Amino acid sequence: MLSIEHVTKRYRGFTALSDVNLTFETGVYGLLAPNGAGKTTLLKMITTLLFPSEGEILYNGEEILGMGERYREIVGYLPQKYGYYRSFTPRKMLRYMAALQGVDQREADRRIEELLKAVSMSEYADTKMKKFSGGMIQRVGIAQALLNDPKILVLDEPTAGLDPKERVRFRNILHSLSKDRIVLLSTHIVSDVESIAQKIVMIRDHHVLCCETPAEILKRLEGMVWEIPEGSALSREHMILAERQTEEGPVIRAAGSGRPENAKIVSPSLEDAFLYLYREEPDENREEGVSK
Amino acid sequence: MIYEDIPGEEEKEKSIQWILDQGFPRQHSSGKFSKMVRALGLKPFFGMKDCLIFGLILSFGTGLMVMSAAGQKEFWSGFLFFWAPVFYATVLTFTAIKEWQGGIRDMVKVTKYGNEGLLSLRMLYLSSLSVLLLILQQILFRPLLADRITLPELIRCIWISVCGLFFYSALELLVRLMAKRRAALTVVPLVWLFGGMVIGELIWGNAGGGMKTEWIGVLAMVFMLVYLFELRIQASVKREEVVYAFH
Ligand SMILES: Nc1ncnc2c1ncn2[C@@H]1O[C@H](COP(=O)(O)OP(=O)(O)OP(=O)(O)O)[C@@H](O)[C@H]1O
Ligand SMILES: [Mg+2]
Repeated sequence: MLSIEHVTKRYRGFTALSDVNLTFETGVYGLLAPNGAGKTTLLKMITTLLFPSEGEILYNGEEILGMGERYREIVGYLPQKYGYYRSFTPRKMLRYMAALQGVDQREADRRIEELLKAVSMSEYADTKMKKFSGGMIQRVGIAQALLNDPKILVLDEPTAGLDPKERVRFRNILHSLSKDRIVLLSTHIVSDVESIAQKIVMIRDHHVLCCETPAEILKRLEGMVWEIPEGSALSREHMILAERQTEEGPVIRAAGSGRPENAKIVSPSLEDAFLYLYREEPDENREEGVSK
Repeated sequence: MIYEDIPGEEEKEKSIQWILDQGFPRQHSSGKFSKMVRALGLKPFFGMKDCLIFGLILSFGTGLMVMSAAGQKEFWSGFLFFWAPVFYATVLTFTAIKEWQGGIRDMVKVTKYGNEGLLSLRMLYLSSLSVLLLILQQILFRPLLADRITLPELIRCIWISVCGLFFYSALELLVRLMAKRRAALTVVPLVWLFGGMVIGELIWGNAGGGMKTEWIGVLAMVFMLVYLFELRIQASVKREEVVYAFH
């Protein structure tokens, strides 16, 4: 069990995260937040690349920074920007990283074979990586994060650059992995986490907004999402989420309490929740303490 | 059962090990190094072929250049002290640049052995390789010098260069361990130059015809031991946080 207790992270004067409290048990956790919310900051603290300015992170009750190599041994990490040596082949790169992870050479070779197959890169195992596309490199990165069969798998935007087919494949890999380990992945693409994340963590204004199941998040918006034919009047309390073409002409999807004229209630999606929960509140409302 | 309280052989060993662990935490023992050597083999040099080649070219190039410019052995032996770490310093600098450019530091840091482990092992290999290279170079360069170099002079040259190598590497590592910022490493060449002049004056200074070869050897060994001691510290220090301006 990984627990984050009252963690605050400051970069010089700027507070990126403030008083974060989270507990992770086995399963997939999706960190769903917009750009600059502090996803990378949080994940880097969990991998010990950054240290909390306040608070601490515990793994089974032990402070992770103090655990040193005993902790790093059980962590798999894919940075937001996967780094590699251009002249290396995936096989060589993975062997290098496996050795640094302390994985026995023979065991490593077996796993490399297996993992390259899982990310459908077997064919390119011995091709130099400088010839790869962004998505192919990302797939090598995913394989690398899994080399040491980590108990804690930290993936910073793993699906960036993957095509739809590979995304599905990736989700299946994660799903099969999540039974006996903690998987943390960050993304701002809702569909990445919708189906596989047990819990979704949202960060807003440097605080954790929620750590809930997708269903619980949807419940927050229950009875608040509407579809209205274009041209109908909308009150200021409603927020426009999307526009969509239907057989009866264009409709607007909006969220807010109170039924607008001509509106049809629809069940909320996680995408709606993302847009609504991360809406920009007009400043005057905030000052007056008016919510919703 | 009168003997119950007497610990068995296994228990005794365990408790001795426990005491040893308290006195010498496992991480500090050189066992960590041999474990890393076994696990990593030559991998600390993976992807560094170009850096090694560049180091070799620079080291041979500068050596030959100075030798052809001034073929006297007095000048040559004085120059050796400063020239010796060229290979070590070049390869280390270029590997750091290459790793930084590849953006693989963060990933390496989150591995079991981490950046400290990799770097320490790389330094250990590189310094050993440097010693071999220096000996080889002295032998290869010997016939090229205008003045004839006798065997004792050759040995003296080797000791001077080994002394220079470990003076530089121990100094550089010391700054690495002590300094808060990596930028502090830029002072190393300056300190090395001035410190080297002082030590150099002792070694080949005209006063008293320079230091005896034996003493140069002792000095080289002292620098080497300091360096190895620092390496062991580096391999087991607690990591520090590095905040990049961007990521
Ligand atoms: N080294 C740094 N120095 C100063 N501020 C930083 C630094 N790194 C991040 N920040 C700031 O901290 C905040 C959070 O950054 P972070 O990279 O964690 O966001 P993110 O959620 O990962 O964003 P993205 O989706 O773009 O990857 C941002 O406002 C950023 O400007
Ligand atoms: Mg990020």
